[in-house]
Amino acid sequence: MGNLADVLIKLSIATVILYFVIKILSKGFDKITDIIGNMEGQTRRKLIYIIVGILLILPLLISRYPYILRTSVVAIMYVVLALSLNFVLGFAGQLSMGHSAFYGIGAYVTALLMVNFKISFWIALIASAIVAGFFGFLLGVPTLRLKGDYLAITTIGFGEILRLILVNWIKVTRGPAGIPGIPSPKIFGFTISNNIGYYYLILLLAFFTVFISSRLLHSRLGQGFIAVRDDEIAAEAMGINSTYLKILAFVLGAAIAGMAGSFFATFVHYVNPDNFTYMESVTILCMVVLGGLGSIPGVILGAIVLTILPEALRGIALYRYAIYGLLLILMMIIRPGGMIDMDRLKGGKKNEDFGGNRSNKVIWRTNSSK
Amino acid sequence: MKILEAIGVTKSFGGLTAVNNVDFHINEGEIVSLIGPNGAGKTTFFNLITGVYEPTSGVINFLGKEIHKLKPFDITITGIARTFQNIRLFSSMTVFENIMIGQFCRTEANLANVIFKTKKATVEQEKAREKVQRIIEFLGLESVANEIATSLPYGEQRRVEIGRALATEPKLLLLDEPAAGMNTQEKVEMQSLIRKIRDEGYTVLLIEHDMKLVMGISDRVAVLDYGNKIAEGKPNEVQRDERVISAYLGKEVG
Ligand SMILES: Nc1ncnc2c1ncn2[C@@H]1O[C@H](COP(=O)(O)OP(=O)(O)OP(=O)(O)O)[C@@H](O)[C@H]1O
Ligand SMILES: [Mg+2]
Repeated sequence: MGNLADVLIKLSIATVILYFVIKILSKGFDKITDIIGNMEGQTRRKLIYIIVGILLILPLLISRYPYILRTSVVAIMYVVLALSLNFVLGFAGQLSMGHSAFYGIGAYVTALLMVNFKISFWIALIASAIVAGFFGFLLGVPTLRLKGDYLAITTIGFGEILRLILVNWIKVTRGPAGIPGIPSPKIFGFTISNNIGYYYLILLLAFFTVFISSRLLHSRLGQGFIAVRDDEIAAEAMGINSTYLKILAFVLGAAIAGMAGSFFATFVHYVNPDNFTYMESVTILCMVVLGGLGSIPGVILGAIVLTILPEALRGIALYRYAIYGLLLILMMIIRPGGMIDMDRLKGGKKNEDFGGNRSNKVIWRTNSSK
Repeated sequence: MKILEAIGVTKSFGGLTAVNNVDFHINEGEIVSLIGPNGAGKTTFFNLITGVYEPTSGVINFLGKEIHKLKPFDITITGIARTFQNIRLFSSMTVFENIMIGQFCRTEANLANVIFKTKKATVEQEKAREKVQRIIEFLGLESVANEIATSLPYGEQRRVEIGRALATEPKLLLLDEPAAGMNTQEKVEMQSLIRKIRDEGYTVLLIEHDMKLVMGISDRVAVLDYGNKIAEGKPNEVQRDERVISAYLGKEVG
């Protein structure tokens, strides 16, 4: 009993702290997004160049701190994962809660190909994307007729089934023992052997993902996703085949998650089913929601914060998922649009009443299957 | 020329027959109004034409092609666009972006095109933007083009919905109570807007409760009551029809 009281007290304290942190950060982020939202395209581009420059020289600055370097690599990997879920959840508005399945598929495809067949990383990377994308398609076709909570339940089921296959298909996956000895990737004969190399590899993958996300978002297809997310009936009335777009979002998200999995396999040289649990899906989901559904900078920030935060707070690591739960609830109440609200970035005049309660409709709407 | 023809169209929801064996047509270039008391089945009839529901029985032809089994998005592509009685704008988009969505079905860039930003995608996008710009000017929405659409006053939201429908480049435009909730001044403006739209070459089917607007603008009026079409004809004929007076106007007065 003493223990329970202890836990409750700790969680209450965490709630209060989180509440104020979110409140205060919100104000700051609003200022920043308003500034960026009102910037000229030219200035915005310069800002992006500066950020890219910093990212490129970062490993040279922190190479003396292996722990920070490694955490940076992991953080960028989660950026890729969160952005991949953002296609499905942020753009197309489909609550998919089994995303770690695609990540796992990618990791296992790469592990099996590289260990058993000595295939080069690059081919394994592409194969992982294709296989994961294909599974996204297989899952998408029957399930995307489902809405909200039903879709969530089905995707959770899919994730669990995949994990159970990894555990039980011992002949191929070696079961819970996992697959060790995954080699490092080679570029032009050089082997990527240290974390600086991995940093640039994952940064490349992250740039690729951001590039695709942003090209897509500003295209007819991306706007079509948003239309489906906002109001599927109205979208169909505008001549949009919403089923097709939802499957497209699913396939893209799955393929990119598969690439992140592929990277993960070579980065840690070892995969096992425990890496791809439901909790992993929840973590990725939290990153997207925390950052701001559909908002590319938001999702990037969400992934970075939720990678670094648990590292920084090792002391309460035990409560990690409880805190994620709290965080989700608090975000929904205080700041449903996420830290960086996608719509605020549009600049121009805004109606404050409508400032933050749009993007979250995905989550809310799950309760009203219309 | 008949642009749309419904033959014996029925829609039942369980025991309730919302639309009962209705024959109806619209000629090209007409403004036709569909009137009737609340719950008469007008919106359901729209939903049948636009593929939201499939008729329980009956046939709907549009430009000589059967459409009653098509999906809503396919029907829009064949040239029918609509607005909604309860406005359904895309709530995270600006006015411009909302109307731009109407152009989705008239553009074709695929995933590869948009990721590599091919010439095709850019040119097509630019053309679409120009069309949207013209629609915005046509509707007088220039000053609010970059505002979040759902933050606008009601009357303007209705115009944005009309703009979004026009952007799909329809032959037939269905308006479900476009003047609902408007004041007299706005209603007059809506009336002249609808006329302007017809003069641009669109055919219009209108659901409206405001009799002054309906009688002032329609070439023909059809009256629904409990799912049955009880009258059809010129506005002044319909106005004098006994059954209409008792079923519809009668109810309002008494
Ligand atoms: N999806 C549905 N399921 C069951 N009943 C429905 C459905 N849609 C409409 N109805 C019923 O069908 C009848 C006709 O409704 P409809 O919305 O078409 O009326 P309306 O003429 O548009 O009325 P109003 O002027 O109030 O908009 C009503 O009794 C309504 O309750
Ligand atoms: Mg109605």
